[in-house]
Amino acid sequence: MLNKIISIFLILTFFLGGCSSFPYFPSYLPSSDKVGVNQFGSYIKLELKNGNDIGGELIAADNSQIYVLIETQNDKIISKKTIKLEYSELEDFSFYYAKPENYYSRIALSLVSVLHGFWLVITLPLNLIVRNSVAIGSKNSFKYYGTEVNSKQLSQFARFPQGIPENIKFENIK
Amino acid sequence: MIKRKIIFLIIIILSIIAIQACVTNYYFRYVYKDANSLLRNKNINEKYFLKAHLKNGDVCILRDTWKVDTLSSVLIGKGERFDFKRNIISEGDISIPFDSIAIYETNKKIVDAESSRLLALGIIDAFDVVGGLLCLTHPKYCFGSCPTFYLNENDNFHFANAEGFSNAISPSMEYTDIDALNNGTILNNIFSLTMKNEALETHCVNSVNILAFPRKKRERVYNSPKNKFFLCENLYLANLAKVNNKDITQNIKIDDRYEYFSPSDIDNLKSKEEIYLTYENVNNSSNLGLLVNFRQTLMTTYFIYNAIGYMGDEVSDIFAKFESNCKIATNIKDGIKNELGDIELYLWDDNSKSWTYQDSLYETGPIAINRQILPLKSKSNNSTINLKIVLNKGLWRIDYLALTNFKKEVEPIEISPSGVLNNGKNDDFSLGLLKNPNKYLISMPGSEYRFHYVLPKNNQDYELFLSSKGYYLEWMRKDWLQEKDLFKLYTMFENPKKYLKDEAHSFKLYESRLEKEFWDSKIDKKKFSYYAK
Repeated sequence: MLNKIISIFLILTFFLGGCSSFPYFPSYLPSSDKVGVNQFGSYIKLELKNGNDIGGELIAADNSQIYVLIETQNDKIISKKTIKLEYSELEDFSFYYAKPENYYSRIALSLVSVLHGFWLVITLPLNLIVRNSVAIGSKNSFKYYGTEVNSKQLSQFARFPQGIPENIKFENIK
Repeated sequence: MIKRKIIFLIIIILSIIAIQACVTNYYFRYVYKDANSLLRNKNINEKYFLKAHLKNGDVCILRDTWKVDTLSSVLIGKGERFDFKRNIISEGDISIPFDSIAIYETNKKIVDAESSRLLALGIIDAFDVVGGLLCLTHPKYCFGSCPTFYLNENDNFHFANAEGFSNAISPSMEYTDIDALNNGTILNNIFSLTMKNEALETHCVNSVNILAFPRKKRERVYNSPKNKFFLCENLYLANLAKVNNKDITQNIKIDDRYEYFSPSDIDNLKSKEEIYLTYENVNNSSNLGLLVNFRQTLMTTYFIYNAIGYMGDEVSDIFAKFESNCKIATNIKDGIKNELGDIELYLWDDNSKSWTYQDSLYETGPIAINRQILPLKSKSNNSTINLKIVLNKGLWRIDYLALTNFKKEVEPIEISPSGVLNNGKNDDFSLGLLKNPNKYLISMPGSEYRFHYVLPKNNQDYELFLSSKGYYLEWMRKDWLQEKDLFKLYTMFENPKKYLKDEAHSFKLYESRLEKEFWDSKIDKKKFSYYAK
């Protein structure tokens, strides 16, 4: 019986939350209370039509293009470069303007339901629903999807909301 | 019903909080192309953070001390200046000419971004802690009690078919308990039954036998409180059932687990109530018996736990005295029980215009529903039968009250187990213990045994009863040690009448908080295949 309960718990945990665990966030992404005084752009994740995924700092955006500072690694040497992408090259994108809190570890506290005896039938799903909702909700709380913003709004979350300054070559931005 | 609504409300609230926790904090910045439009911002007094993005790619981040000096056409304030690679250039007082600024950006502080999530987690954490503490201090509300028996091994305790020797809380109180299993049609001669220990108790099981009675179609066998078995036919359902002029017919008319129960009397746990029953068109009014499907509320469980709590750290000494002193054991066994009283049955006598006492029954245990028959001693010549049931207020849950005709008294075929599975594996050792009347099968918390029985004939339907013998030892809980009160223990055993009066208010608190929640959690009208008649 206990094995069954644990199995159900694990399945539900993986099904509800474990399958979408807490993602990587770069160090330049501020916590929510520092978002107003952060000098960097948002962290943008791009899904390209060629099947590749790219993630990096949003440098600037205008009506037709997005500039993203990405990190590349060759022979253990990490280098940064800014690339320019046309919207037509993108399948989809999303961006985070602040680093969310990680509540995924607290899903494990649902196991406390074992102490509830037969009430576990009610309390375990309730725990999983609430804790997973909180974790998933938190993960997405400072996130926008490409469909939710236009290019003007997107530019407000870039390092250069005014666009790439005229005196700077975008390739030199690090 | 109110408790059910409250639980429903809590679930809804938690769901709303959970959904709320999923909501994204929509947050847009405000940008201004020049100082004038920045000044026209009606919320400017709120002193947002200000970022001045310069035409050369630098950015100045000013805290809430910035000012727009329109005379000098400069933006002044305290903060940091970063170059286009976002390396810090300077820090402190900053003065920026308007014409060097490409864009102004204000940011409102994100306040309490995590508050809804922390609230949701706080509520669920509190819910878990309170639930856990309640279950640890009152395990029977959460972990069941006594050996519970199941025809379907996957059922939980809400659907237990029987519970064994609930009264036997020490070795000297051991007895044989007989419970109807209410089985459906038996199709082959192999029958299986699962016994679980779902409580913090040690179960010492001397025997687990099956009592079998061959039956034909439309025949049933019921046992009386004195463990006599009657072969019965015909069913007469109640036409009217009333308590204090309240119609409870729907509660007791059908064997559907939709039970009638009433709250205890806040002034005295001894208080009684009366159920008046009317049965019309009883074609055969000879050899009538009242079928009673019933079980107890958690009142007696409360008494057992209180008694052990009152013993505190002397629990083992006091139990040792019980074992060596018959009088004390009798007081424990019968003191409160006698005060609470049986479920008493009376028949209305048209000739004498009075109620005539017929019989009574009592069975301890709040989990499994007992199914017993009370044969009517008096004969009625009328096709309308009026009955009265007198029972303790708050102690009983009544599911079904129907009349039947008993044909004759029958003798059981007693069958001991032919095989035992312990957590799915053959366990000949346990089988040997059950076959030896001087030995005990010890079942610890979490144990699960499945017993196999070979019925005498294939293709013969049987009515089956469980005959379990043994006793159990309640585990002492740390929290109970703090409840030590030997005077209350003495009152409970020596003056149960006073105890029931004194304890009425305290029990009411438990009853209102836990009783309904506990039982309302069951799934209404769950149908098992073996309930099919």
